[in-house]
Amino acid sequence: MKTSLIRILQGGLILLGLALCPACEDINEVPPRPESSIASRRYKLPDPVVLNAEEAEIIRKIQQEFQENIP
Amino acid sequence: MKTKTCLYLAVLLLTLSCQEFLNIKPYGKTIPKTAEEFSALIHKHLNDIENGSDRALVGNASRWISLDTGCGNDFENCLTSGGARLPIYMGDVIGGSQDIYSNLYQAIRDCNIVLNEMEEKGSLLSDKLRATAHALRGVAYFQLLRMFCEAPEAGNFDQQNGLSLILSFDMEARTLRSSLQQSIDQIEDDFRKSLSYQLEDPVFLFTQDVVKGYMARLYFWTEAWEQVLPLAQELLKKYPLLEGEAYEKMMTTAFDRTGNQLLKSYSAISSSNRNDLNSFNSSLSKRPVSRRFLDSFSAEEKNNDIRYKLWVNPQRQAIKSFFCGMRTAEFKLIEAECLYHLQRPEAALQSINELRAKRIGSYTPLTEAELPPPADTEIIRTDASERELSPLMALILRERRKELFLEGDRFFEQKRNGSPEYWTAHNGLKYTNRKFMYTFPIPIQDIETVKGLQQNPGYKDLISY
Repeated sequence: MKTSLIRILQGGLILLGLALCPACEDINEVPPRPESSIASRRYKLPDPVVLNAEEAEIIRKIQQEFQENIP
Repeated sequence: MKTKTCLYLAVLLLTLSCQEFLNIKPYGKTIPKTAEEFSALIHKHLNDIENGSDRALVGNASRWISLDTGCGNDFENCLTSGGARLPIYMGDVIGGSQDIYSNLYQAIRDCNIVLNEMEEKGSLLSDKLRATAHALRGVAYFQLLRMFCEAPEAGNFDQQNGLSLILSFDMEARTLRSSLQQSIDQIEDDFRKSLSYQLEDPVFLFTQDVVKGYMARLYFWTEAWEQVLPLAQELLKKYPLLEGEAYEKMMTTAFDRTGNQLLKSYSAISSSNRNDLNSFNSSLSKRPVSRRFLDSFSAEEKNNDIRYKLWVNPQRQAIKSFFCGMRTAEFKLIEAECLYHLQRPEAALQSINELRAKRIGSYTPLTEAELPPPADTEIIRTDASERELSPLMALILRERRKELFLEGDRFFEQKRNGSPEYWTAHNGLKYTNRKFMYTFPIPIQDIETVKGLQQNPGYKDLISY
């Protein structure tokens, strides 16, 4: 009687162990960490360029007009 | 043998006793159960609006400075004097947009908790909370729509990318973007549900009239002209335009909600924070208002238009009191533009004349024959329907530019009306605002976390700094 009870318990524990093992299948549930910090990355945007002569002249006129008309 | 049996039983019992072992224990915090406890989630956002620290839902001075100096062409970058830390072009604002995205989804999360987890129903407070939660969620999605989705193209809403619509609290949710039409429908649904509670309590800020105002803004943004017109006219009837001293008083009152203002940030600001707000004016004074903006006033208007006197000083520094919220003049401008798009040009002209008559002394209404052509310096060349700007439409947009100066509107006007590309200069360098930059990028973190989440066009390569 005792032997059979022990066997039932042993069998139950083995089944429980088998049931627990598959639960570990997906151990990486947390999303993978990015290789570098997100805070130090950004999308690349068009770089500023040096004004050409025509554009520089437009800016010069705006500045001149401002200086001449502001008290 | 008995010992072994006991041992096995003990192990078995132990495996069964761990059910709630790992649950987080909220020591010192309350898991909300009653409506009063849930109200803390909503009041946090309302308080942020009232004390001026909310940058995303209604907006504040810091946000307006960023948008109006970096993303609009009302100010002159090349005249910026030393010490000013103002954005130069849209590229400088795009980085900060990631926080706005995050803040808006945090508000959506809190609204979702209230709407889905609060069991109390039928009480006065629970109804007010549900009305406000729907309104706030609608406003949050509306702000996301304007910033992170491309400008609506009539007839193409089902093909255009919308937002990730998250309607319940789920930490594991990895939601892809909906279509623009689905996003619009969700926002409209939230506003309608909010209206069904008939909220009138000003403590909750988003009363029926405010929600109607946001609904009008949604319809206007999505070019639903027939739907927006009656809403705008209803609000105009209830909150008529002001003129003269009443208008001047309203526009120079920095902190209290006055006149026909329906919603206003900073309305409950503390005295210490008032100094912070004043510092924004000081920062803004380093960058003069552009001649392009000043010339949107004719020579006669520079003498007669009350706005010219109230907005800018002789040194061309912006002196307008920051206004972040909602006021009636916007609905008059919406009315005029709707009438124009509904092929009623005479009514549109009458509407815009009515607004001008409230702002310009000894005003004589303009006739169609007298309308000047669009100014050469105006970068907007097409209207929301992608048609070339007519003199009447140019007048309506020009009035909007003048009336809503320094209210965070110009960037969205440019985006809505053709998203024109233009350049600006600073320290000998030319910065170009490209069309794609009018739509801000979905944050990198979301793109990398949610597989299949589509980024907006133009944002591909990442750089480290």
